[in-house]
Amino acid sequence: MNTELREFLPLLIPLVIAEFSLLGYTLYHIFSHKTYKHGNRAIWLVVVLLGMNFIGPILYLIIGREEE
Amino acid sequence: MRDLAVFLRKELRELVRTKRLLILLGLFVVVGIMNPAVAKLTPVILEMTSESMAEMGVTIGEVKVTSLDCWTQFEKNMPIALIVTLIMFSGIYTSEYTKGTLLLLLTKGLSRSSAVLAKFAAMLITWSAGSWLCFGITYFYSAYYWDNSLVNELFFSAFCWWLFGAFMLCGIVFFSSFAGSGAHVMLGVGGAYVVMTLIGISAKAKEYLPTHLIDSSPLYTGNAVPSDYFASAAVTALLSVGLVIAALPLTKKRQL
Repeated sequence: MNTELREFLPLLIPLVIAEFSLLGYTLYHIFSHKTYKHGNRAIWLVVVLLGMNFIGPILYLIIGREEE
Repeated sequence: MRDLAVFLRKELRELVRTKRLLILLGLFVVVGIMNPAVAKLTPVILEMTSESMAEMGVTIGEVKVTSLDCWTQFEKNMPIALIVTLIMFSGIYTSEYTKGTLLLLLTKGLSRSSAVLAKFAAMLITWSAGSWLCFGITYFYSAYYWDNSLVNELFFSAFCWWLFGAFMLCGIVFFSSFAGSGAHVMLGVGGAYVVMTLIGISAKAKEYLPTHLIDSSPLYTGNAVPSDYFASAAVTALLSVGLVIAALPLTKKRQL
C-alpha cells in the first residue's frame, strides 16, 4: 500500500491543497457576509461542509455568493 | 479601437476583483488534475469492488489503465467545466443592463459595440486560458504516468473543444442582446444546444454541426481523422462570427 500511495502523491498533493484552500476561502466568505443571493447562512454551511469535495464550495461561489 | 481597450481593461479588472477569474481558473486546474486521478484510481476501485462482484458472479480481470482512459476522462469532464464557465458568464451583459451601470460609460461617449466586443474578448481570454491550462495539466500527468503517444490527435481535439466553447460564448453574446436576465441567456444557450443535438440524430447533418466537435473519442482511438471535423469546425467558426455580428445592431437598438 505504501508504494502505491507514494505513486498517487503527485496527484493528491495539489488536489488536497486546492480543496482546502477553496474550502477555507468559501467559509471565510460565508462568515464575512450576512446576505446571500439565495438561501441563508445555515443552508450554505451545510452544503459547503457536506459537499466539501469541491462541489459545495463551487455551488456556493456560483449561486450563493452575492455580487458586491 | 481605444474604446475597446478601455472597456477590455475594465472587464478584466472586474473579473479579477470579483474573483471570477480565480474561481474559474481554479476549477480548470482541478478538472485538469482530476482527469488523470480518476483514471489512475479506476483499478483500485475495481479491486475493492471485485469481491462483491465475484459473489454476484462477475469476475474482473486485470485492468490496465492507459493514457486513453485519462483522455476519456478529459472528454467527459470538459463539459462540466464549460457549463460552469457559461453559467458564470451568463449574466455578464444582462446584469449591467438591468443595473444601468453601463449607462455611465456610454453617456461619456464610448460606443456600445465596443462594450459588447470587450466583454466577449474578456470571456474568450478566460475560456482560452482555462481550457488550455486544463489540457496542459492533463497532458503533463498523462505523460508522467503513461504514454501520450498512444492517443492520436490530442492537440487537434483540444482545439475542437476550445472552438466549441468559444462558439457557446458567442451564443451568450447573441442571446444577451435581447434577453432580460442571465437565466434567460442560459435558457437560450441550453436550448440551442438541445436543438443541435436533436438535429444531430441524423448522421448526415451531424458532420456539419458544432456539437460534432466535442465528440473526440473517435479522434483519440484513430477511428476518425482531423479532416472529418473540418466541415463542422468551419460551420462553427462562421456561426460564431455571425452571432457576434448579429448581436451588435440588436444591442444598439436595445433600450437600456
